[in-house]
Amino acid sequence: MQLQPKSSEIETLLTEVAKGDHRALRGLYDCVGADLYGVAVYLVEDESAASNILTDVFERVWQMAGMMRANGVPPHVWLLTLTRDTAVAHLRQQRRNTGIPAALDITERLYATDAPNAGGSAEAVQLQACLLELPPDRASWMERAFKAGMTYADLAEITGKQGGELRAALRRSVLQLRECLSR
Amino acid sequence: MTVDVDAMPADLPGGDEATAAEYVLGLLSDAEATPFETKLNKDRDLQQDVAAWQAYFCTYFETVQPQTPPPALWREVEIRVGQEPKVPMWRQVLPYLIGAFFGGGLTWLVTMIGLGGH
Repeated sequence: MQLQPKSSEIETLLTEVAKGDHRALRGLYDCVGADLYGVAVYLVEDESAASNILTDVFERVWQMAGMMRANGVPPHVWLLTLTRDTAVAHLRQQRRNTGIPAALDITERLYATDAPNAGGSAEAVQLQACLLELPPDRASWMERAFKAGMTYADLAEITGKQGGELRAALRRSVLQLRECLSR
Repeated sequence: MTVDVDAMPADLPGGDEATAAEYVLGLLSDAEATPFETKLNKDRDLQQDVAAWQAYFCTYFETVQPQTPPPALWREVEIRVGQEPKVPMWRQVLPYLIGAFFGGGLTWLVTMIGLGGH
């Protein structure tokens, strides 16, 4: 799924949504609803929870469409970030209710099923290449944080490393990653 | 004894540039995220960093297949944003038609029973 080609259409619709146009919201739903629902199902692996997430995302889009341009993020990235943040909040809540093991199952599933991103965007290719330059495990820590909402405490538990040490290592790695990405 | 929960541990490497990535990865505690966001609102370079990290990490979703949401979901969205779902005219009047039908039937039945009793 690549939303980037739809970015200008999304931007036009969001501009209308920001003015309170309900039809534009419907247009946006038709344009990206299946993409965002796919991401939500992928992250939480539960269609009922994913439905609630998508409803929350569109409610927030309705309320916040006017603020989208302010932070300089491309429209499709803004929508994906909103979906990711909402899904991660759900996963964290679920983890608080059920404990860590459930979360571990989820992350193992995420990494077991991922196909290589052949034909991905330039950013995807660049990120994958730069992640390969990092010390082992660092890429999976970042992926677990971003996709499953793992905290440093969760990562420390999985890796058996001490929290502060792990954090310092991850911060050094993101700097190395940043340097590679800006080459 | 008071603990300054807002402060990041002083000996962490990387400065704001590393914190921007942690912010996007969701690795900052609430106590750390709030002052970071205050700084973010005023700092263009930091905003660019955050935007770039979001764009890069969102490429994780490029391999995800779109999936059609359940048909009833749009109605949920409409209710949430304060737009009452559009109900077709025949469904708006259906309860009245059903009521009229059974009401009429009941009247007829009572009348018939009443007539039969005499």
